[in-house]
Amino acid sequence: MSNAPASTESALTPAVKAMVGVSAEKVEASFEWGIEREGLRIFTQAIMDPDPRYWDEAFAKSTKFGAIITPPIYCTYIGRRQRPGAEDPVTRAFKENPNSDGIGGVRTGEGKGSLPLVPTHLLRILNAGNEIELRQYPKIGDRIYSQAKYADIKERVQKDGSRMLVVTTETLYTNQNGELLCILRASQIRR
Amino acid sequence: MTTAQELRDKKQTYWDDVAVGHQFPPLVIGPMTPTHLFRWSAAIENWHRIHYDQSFAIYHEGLPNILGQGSWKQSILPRYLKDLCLPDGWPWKVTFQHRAMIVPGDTITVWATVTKKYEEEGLGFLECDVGMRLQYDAESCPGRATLVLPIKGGKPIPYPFVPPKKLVS
Amino acid sequence: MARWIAIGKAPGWDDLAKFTQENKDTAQWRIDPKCTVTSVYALGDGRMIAEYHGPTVAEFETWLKNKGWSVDSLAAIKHIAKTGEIWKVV
Repeated sequence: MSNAPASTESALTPAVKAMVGVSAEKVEASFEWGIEREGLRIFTQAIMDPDPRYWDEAFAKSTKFGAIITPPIYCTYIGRRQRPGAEDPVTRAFKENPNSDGIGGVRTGEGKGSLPLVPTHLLRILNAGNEIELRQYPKIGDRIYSQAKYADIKERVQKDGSRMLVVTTETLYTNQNGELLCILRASQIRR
Repeated sequence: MTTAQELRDKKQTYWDDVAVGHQFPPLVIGPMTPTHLFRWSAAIENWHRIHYDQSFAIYHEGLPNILGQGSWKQSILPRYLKDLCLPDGWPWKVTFQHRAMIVPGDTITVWATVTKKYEEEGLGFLECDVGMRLQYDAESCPGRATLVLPIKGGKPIPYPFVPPKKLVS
Repeated sequence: MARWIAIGKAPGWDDLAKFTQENKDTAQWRIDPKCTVTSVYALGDGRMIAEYHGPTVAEFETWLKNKGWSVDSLAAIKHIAKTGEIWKVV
């Protein structure tokens, strides 16, 4: 027996509504050595951006930014890397499931900084779009911190009358001085 | 593709010089190869097999081939908008959705067209339609962006960027 | 997504240049967002094998016809072993 409500019942339950505004713990996304040049080189080559502002120190100092900078949303990726010395998550994932998709079981962190799950029976997740707002580019040596919150949850009724949720999370990225670097708003459809 | 020298020598586009309907020079990337996709997966430590394991992508996931990463697209658009604004403008905001899949062999044209322009607190704002169009005209990443460009004889764009209060929701 | 294999003959595909011309571009093998010709083999005896996946076989049949194939055999695939990885198809 499923406890899932019938599709015509609202998915925007009081428990779901209560998640709006809930914040995760603010955590450091970078490692303790901060943003470094080799990681920046690998990243910028992967987006095929040869901008000298990422690698030519003398030129970078002459720009309005005054120092080597990173690409616009570099700070949103650095928290995804595996910490040195941690148990190998790839080996662990395939040991647990030889048919692992390489992502579902590959846990690289301890869940720190994660939001609590939205209490809904709608388990299928689709990306509904993102918004990126930029304030400042990170610099070499910067320490990056992130904090996520549920910014909005709306209900939509589909053509067949079934309900879905549009869940928007907002993550603020700041540096070691508390200065805002960028805001990432990501919307997911749950149905 | 843009070269390092072109980005070093980039001349400022001023708000005054851009009209509604203006199409910025596109950035063409590709044809994409499995190596490009793998390089991105390695760079951000994304081990999802649909991006580099063709057998898994096709036979387990039912995909046409390995797929270009949404996170890569999400990095390319702001990179392009950054280039348009250099040296002194600011690519303030971009919103987008993930549509047509990118597979090896695809060539991507990143584009931006001005849809609206206005001035606020002495700064020049441009609203743009943006996207990443594939060689068969499918749109892979439609969206909208807000760019801030200097006005001739006007004040410099603050850095770090602080949006005018009126424009912050 | 279901899969089919076609075995037959495609005129001129023993020539690598023609084979490349008719199979390399993405548009040549990606019929539409749901239909893909995932592999085409030119055999030493002059025959061809093509593998396809999509919701129905109709798009594949049209593709084969447009390519000028004479099809000897067209069958659904049940499961696949690829260098030790086993995939159940239907």
